[in-house]
Amino acid sequence: MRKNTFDHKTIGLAFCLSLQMLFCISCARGQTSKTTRAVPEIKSEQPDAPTPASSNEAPADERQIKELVDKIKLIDNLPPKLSQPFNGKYAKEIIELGEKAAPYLAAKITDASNSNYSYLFRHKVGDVALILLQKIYQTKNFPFPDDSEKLPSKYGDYRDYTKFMRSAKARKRLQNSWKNYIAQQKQQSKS
Amino acid sequence: MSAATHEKELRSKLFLNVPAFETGDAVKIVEVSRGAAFIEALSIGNIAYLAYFGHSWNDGVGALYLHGADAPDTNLSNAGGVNDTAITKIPKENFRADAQIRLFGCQGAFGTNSAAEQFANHLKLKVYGYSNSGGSLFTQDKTLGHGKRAVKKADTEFKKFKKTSDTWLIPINGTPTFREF
Repeated sequence: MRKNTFDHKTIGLAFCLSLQMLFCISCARGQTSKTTRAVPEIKSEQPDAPTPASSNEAPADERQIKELVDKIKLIDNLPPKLSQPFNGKYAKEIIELGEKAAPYLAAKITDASNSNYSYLFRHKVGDVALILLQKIYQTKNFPFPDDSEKLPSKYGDYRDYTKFMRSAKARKRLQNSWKNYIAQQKQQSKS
Repeated sequence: MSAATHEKELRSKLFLNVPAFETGDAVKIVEVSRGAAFIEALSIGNIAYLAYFGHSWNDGVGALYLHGADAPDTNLSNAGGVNDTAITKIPKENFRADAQIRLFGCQGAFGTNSAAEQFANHLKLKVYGYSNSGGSLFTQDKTLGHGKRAVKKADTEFKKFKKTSDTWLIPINGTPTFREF
């Protein structure tokens, strides 16, 4: 009797999904190119108000929030689907802070140093911050929450994100977009 | 690309410890995004080998993530969540008694109650998945793709893919290791 060997492919679909899913689906890195570019390490900025000039003078809860968000560099476990619960260490605590953590996370977006998290590619600290912001706000647009900019679509998958994030000032523009969005959300919740 | 590479290796018997491909066997690659479609695709029957290339995870109860949307029927898992289609809904009769299933997604056999374990418990077949923690990585390094060495930092850095080269989906941490259930 003839056997059927059934090979089940979802790779193509998975790549497309990553653009919607806050890029928890990391880029797969391919073969060596002839030249490699160094990615500059950018230290994260301090978040905007409400923090006072010196962190030593910050209210205890602000300090605690900042200290917790600073731990995103240690996060090594995030599910590759935004709608799933984030139960991993530090990620869960930060998500539970909700919008209180948002300014501190937005400050991290420009941090291009390596995080402890990899999914198809080694995520930068700023990439992890973006994941957590998307989890908190459940934004429809990716990665710019206000849709002020769109990712080029060369590959149709996560590689569009990683390539874009390596372009000049992309992280800064993304950070500004999130800062504006966070401010708008805060304003709307007051009114 | 990984599925195509795997098919090539099946046909040429280059991928070890899987049912041998014989002349006359049919190989099908199917892209699905819903549990119902996954189950429907299996209705071809007489299945000797099933390989899954896609997203998966184990955060307590393992799941295959067929689609990223927060929508019903986008996961295959016995977790009982609103987006989960139970692995126990997969009909056993579509598989041969000695069939094998191999899950190439992240954490397919990691920890307890992994997707591989759920498949094995339900279908009573040999099921393999990666037991490594963390996410996955695509590589065009054959040695790494075949689990003959551990992932190095350089493997995780951005490199351009060659579109025509073979590609493997492997765990990003350690030496790719399959666990059997």
